[in-house]
Amino acid sequence: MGFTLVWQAVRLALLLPLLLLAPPTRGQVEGPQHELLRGVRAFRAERYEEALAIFRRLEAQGEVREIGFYVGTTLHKLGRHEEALGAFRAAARAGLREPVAAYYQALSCYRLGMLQRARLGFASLVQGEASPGPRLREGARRFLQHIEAALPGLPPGPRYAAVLAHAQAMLPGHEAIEWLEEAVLLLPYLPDRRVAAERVRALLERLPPGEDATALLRALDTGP
Amino acid sequence: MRCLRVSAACALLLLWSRPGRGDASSPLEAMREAAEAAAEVDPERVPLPRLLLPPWLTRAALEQVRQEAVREAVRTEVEREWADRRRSPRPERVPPGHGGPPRGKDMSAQARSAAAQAQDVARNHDVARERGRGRPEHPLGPMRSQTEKVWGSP
Repeated sequence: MGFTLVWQAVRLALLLPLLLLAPPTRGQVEGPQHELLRGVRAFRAERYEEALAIFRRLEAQGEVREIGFYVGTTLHKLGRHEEALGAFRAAARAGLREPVAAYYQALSCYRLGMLQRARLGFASLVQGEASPGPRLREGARRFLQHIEAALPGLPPGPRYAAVLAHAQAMLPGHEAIEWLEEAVLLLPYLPDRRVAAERVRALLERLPPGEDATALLRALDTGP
Repeated sequence: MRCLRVSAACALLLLWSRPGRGDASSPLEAMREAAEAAAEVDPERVPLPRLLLPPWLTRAALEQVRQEAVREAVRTEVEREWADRRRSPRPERVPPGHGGPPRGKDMSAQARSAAAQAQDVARNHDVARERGRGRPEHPLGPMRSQTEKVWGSP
């Protein structure tokens, strides 16, 4: 009898940790992973506003490192391309290297008329620096062809002026850097490159604190 | 001992059935798949003008065309008015107080409005040039200018 009681106690002691390890049932604890999946489900069902609300909440909590990818893709689908570019930039800053994000980024540039950036983005996907699936690779190739066909009819001078005017209008907002990046890519095609570069530099210096323009400033310094 | 084994198996089963763990993919993988499926891959479906003339360029170009059309309409109207006046004989002078349009006020209402509009456009240009900021005139035109006169530039 005594032995049985001791044995029962030992069994209980052994079972207790297992019971503690038992997972939460569905709906009890909803961590960021569960919320992310909920957002992805909404995205898949084309309920983009709902998906964005979920992803924005998670972004505010700051628990998901690559949240910029989720937010950017959803903003793109909502047609908010400038904001989408900002989100993709944040994701890249957080260390995300994601070919699908790169594709969406190039597509947002294309939609906004930042054709130099779009061309560069699609080209890097086609040349295999990143490896998207076959569908996106084919899409990148087709968009690249389209851009190459259209660029000769679009003189760089007026495009540079328009891009710079847009950047100026955006300042001191964070979106200005997106346009300034396009302006930097247009510089090699301008006859008075030095003057144009100085104008870009003046605007880069007016970017809000926290916006890292080091790469662009380096490109200005090392350009031809 | 058998009971212990059964309990352990149940616990492991529950552990693997927790939300997120049991799914075939992580959220990142699921998002990647969903985004890939939803991506536009056909440039033909994106309207061509957007590529050839980016939206911001189109808006600016349209605004410029609109402003030029307004200026042209005003100029034409004023010129037509002056041509009419040159063709038609001058109205007979009548002594003041005996009726007839007073001197300098014989333009039609339409021409007067056109001239006022032209003056406003010219004034906007002058204001922008004086500020030296090269800012184009506001699409709202004279109303905005009047506000700025009272409250100053934002």
